[in-house]
Amino acid sequence: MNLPSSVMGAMRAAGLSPSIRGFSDEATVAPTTAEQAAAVLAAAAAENLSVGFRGAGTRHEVGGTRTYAIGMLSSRMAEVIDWPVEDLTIVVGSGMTVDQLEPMLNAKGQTSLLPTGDPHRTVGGIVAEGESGYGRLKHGPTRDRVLEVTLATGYGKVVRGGGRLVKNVTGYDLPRLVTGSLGSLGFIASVCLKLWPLPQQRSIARVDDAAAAYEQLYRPFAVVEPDTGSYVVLEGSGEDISVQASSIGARIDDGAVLPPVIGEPILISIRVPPARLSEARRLVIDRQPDRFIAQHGVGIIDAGWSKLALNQFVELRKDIERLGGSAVVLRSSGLLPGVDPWGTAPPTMAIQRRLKQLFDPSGICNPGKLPGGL
Amino acid sequence: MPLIDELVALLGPERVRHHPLDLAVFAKDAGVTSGPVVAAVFPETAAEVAACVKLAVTHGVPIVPRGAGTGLAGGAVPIDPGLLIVVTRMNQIHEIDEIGRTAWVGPGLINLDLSTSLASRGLHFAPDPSSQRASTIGGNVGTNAGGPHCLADGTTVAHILAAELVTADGDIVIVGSDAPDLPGLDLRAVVVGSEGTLGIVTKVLVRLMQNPPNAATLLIGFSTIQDAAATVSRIIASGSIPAALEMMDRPMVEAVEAFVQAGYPTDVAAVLLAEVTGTGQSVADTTSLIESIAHSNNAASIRVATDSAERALLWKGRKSAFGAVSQKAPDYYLHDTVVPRTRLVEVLGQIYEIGERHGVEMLNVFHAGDGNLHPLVAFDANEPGMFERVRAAADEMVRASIEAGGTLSGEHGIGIEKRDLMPLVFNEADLDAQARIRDAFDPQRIMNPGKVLPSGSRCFDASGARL
Ligand SMILES: Cc1cc2nc3c(=O)[nH]c(=O)nc-3n(C[C@H](O)[C@H](O)[C@H](O)COP(=O)(O)OP(=O)(O)OC[C@H]3O[C@@H](n4cnc5c(N)ncnc54)[C@H](O)[C@@H]3O)c2cc1C
Repeated sequence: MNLPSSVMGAMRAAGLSPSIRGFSDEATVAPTTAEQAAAVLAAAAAENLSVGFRGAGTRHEVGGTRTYAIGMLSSRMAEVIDWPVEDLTIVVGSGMTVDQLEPMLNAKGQTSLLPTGDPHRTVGGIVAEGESGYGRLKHGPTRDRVLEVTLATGYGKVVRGGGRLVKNVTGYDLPRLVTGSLGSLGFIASVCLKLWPLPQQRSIARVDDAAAAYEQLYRPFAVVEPDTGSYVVLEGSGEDISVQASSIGARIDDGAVLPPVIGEPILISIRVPPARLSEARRLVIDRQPDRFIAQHGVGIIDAGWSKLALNQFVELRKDIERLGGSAVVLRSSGLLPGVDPWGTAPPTMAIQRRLKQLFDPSGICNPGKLPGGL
Repeated sequence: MPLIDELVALLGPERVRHHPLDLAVFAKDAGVTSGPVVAAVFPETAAEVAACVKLAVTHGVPIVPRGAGTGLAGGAVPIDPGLLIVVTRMNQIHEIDEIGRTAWVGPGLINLDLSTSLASRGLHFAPDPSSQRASTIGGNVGTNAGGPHCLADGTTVAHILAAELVTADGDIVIVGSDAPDLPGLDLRAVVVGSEGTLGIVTKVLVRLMQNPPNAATLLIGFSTIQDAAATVSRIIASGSIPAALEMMDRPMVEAVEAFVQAGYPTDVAAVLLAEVTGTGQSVADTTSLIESIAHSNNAASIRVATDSAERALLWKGRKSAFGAVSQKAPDYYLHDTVVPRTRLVEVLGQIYEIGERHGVEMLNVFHAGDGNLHPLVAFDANEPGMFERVRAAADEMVRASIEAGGTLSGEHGIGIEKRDLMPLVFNEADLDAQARIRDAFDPQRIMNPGKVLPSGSRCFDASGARL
């Protein structure tokens, strides 16, 4: 596609040269600063050209597959901007991948607690999706660790919200709002993350009954039930961990590892109130997934199928929504045609629509990714 | 019909207060500002709240949501003559889900009453502001309140899963969900901490935490503030985040001891109150780690309490700090800035210097673990010129915090009190973006107008051109 000269001019003025990606015929641009991103968005907004934001592209199907006039890549914004190590905070460009970030933090005894199952994923992509890692049960969701965000908005301004501080109520909470917004409000240029010290040790124990283990343990790191068995993940000193494990009659399994990410062509994220997890798990197993990973106490089951009949999925979603949850299609590889990735839209669409309109008046930022086609 | 008559027709005379004496009581919160009140109403259901909102909108009277009125930033105080919607009668615990560890509660429920009534189930609500005997869950949601135990567990926002909200349109909506990661924008996250500007919270789904199986509370005395602050930094950097890490300086300790006799040492420059919770082994490990860090930073005294009576006494000292100050002087003025933890020593030094230069009486009690300072100036407002002096000193303290990479408020909120200082932290584009969030919920600006954002914050039009 040929871009209008105004947009090309804005890109050149920002020092950017767009390239055309052969397979999608899309013009892509990789800004190096938030200001460049904002300039491109301002020009695109004036021409009503849609802009798709891209990290590593590993989860481009979340919210549905769409094509956009311009692809904006975070790949050239992958640096550490500020890391006051003893403050346990770090500011990074949104294009930094977790396999760049985590080893660097781990070397200083720290962790971002971001999901690391897929090493190519970017910080910006994970924050935009609002996904959390396994430690959520103990340490809370990713959203609670996004302290500051710098955003290039749909109306072409650079805005900063929050601050590089672990505690902050100064103004409206833009960082938490942007987390999970799937690029609908603008392009995430950088974020400040709250870090957590690495525990002395982290071990995995096999258990017979994950739900019972969750009930009995005091704040385990995770209670995970993949299709291959049930595990608790415990943190502390070696001695402390063995006391915790033996309190539920479990033994540490030094060979055990957390389940790898689900690679099946269909990936569904089931989210239910934690008290309904066991019911949801049964409903998922009834549909014979190739793999699943249930997180007790959190209420999330990720499940993968190499194929799943459309009506089976529709029934599953109905059952899950009846439990007060949602069945979100994270990936369908074209195998669930016509399915809305989200299901029933939340009851607050009027306010959400106004927020989208105020942050992206021309509707050019990742349009269509949010529930309700926003 | 005049607004008051319509309100009386809706709620009955007993739940509509507009006698001058009532209006004087409701003209203030626990901060220093006051404002004109048209009436204070006490609805008991979301439907009544919604009806009140619609009446106020019809009459063009601004709405101010209010809980217990213990806020310190003027959040519950009207600027123009306003209708106070006070939710203290909506104080029920609607349902408790022990397996999911959640509860639906009314916004008027007193914070401590929630944890007290959960004790037999081994659960509690983690945010524990010092005002927890008086402040409401709705008010805690309004300000995203913090407390000593928010160091490890996070402030109120991390403990609110969903809320029922009456919007400026008078609609009743639920933001958030008891299931994780509700699809769509997380409105819950911006409602928490919005200081009543996005709607009135009429029901709250709170996350409950297990009571820790073991706990130890350490009271450590230091002969210099620097040693105490360095100990805080070392503890955090050592890789163990305690449940709480609080600090008080000598003037504050003296005030507290005179008030509640908690057994704090008064011959030291500062005390650190640390709490460690968890399994038996981890409590023992972390306690000895903290002790050894304290020793290597020249601790003058260390007292470790493990039985609940002694721990409660030590905490009583900390939680009575503001009350103790009231015994010392008729008024106090405090800020709530946050600084990066590694800058604590430096900023504290500046704060003492500023206090001395302005000749004001300073006491410090603060959440050291997350760098949240509460420099507190005790004074007598009847002394001519005093408040101006206090304010000037406090203003300088704020600027010193911000220059060190800090911010205006860690837990008390912006309200009216700090509103006009917002440009110290955010530029006009940042403030404009925040104003857009507010406008998405309340385009008519009827909900607690004039709070949080300085006037004129919405400075760009829809396309981004300057207004
Ligand atoms: C002695 C003392 C100690 C304190 N210690 C702490 C502390 O340790 N940590 C801390 O964070 N704060 C502390 N505070 C401040 C205060 O207690 C908190 O801000 C508390 O959360 C306010 O609760 P409240 O019920 O009194 O709310 P109010 O003061 O009535 O209201 C506070 C704000 O929330 C809004 N609001 C209230 N109810 C609702 C509702 N239902 N829906 C929407 N908005 C609502 C109001 O409009 C206002 O903007 C202290 C105050 C005092 C006086």
